[in-house]
Amino acid sequence: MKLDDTELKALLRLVDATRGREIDCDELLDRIGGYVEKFSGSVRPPGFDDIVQHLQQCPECSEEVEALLEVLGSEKRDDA
Amino acid sequence: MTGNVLDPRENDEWLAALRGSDARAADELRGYLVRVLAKTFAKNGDVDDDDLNDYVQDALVRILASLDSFRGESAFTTWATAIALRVAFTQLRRRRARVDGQRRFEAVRQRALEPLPTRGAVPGEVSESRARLFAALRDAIDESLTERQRIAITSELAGIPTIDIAERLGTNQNALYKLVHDARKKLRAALRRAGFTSQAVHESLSER
Ligand SMILES: [Zn+2]
Repeated sequence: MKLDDTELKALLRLVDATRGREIDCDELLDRIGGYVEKFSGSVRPPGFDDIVQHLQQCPECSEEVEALLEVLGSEKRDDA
Repeated sequence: MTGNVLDPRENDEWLAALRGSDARAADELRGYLVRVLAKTFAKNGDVDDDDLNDYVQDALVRILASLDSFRGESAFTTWATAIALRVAFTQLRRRRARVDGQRRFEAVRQRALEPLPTRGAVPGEVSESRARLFAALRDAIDESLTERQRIAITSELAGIPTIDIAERLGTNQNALYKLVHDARKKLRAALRRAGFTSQAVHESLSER
């Protein structure tokens, strides 16, 4: 398999951030609602690290969570 | 936003209404989801009202089928919105990926299956320790990964959208995540066996 040095370096970062147990995309979807509502900054609910770790490895879930945070924030502003 | 505002309902009221096929609750949820998806995709020129309605229709089917898995850790509408976004983004990515996808994927697939380049063909400016680490990583890829894992990883590194890789491999986003996670674990273990600690990897990554 031919990979250039830039690709190898990118892969190395992902491998380095790998954990034995990681949650998958479906589990993230099951759990994300509770986290985004408690996303007040300083308090890190239990299991939060699992979410962050998955988001580092998964651009798709990151895109969806970003959209979720944005739209919930905007709904809140509309209600106010 | 009058006319589109949801009746305030407790989570168990939502569940009871939707389980009881309450048409009004389903319509309200539909209206709400169309509105939030419209906000999300307002900037995207390639999503029109028909697309939004299709996404919401599919999302409602999935939401109604998943009511038992709602754990009550958030507002019901937050949970439903997360599902609707998953459904919508998945469909949108699938459509975008179709454009030019096959040709791009074929090129990467060929590359994934080519034999390793000969050793020692490392550019001069790479330090010796990093060259050894890269060589170990190349060996690990070659020796530890299945063909599907090699194709998946090469495609991801080449920037091919996940949805496209998943479709070409006949799988889905979630299973692909698991396949790649398993591959990353194998590579990490192989690097450890070859004597590269996490610290050695960090040091190499921070080199210029
Ligand atoms: Zn994911």
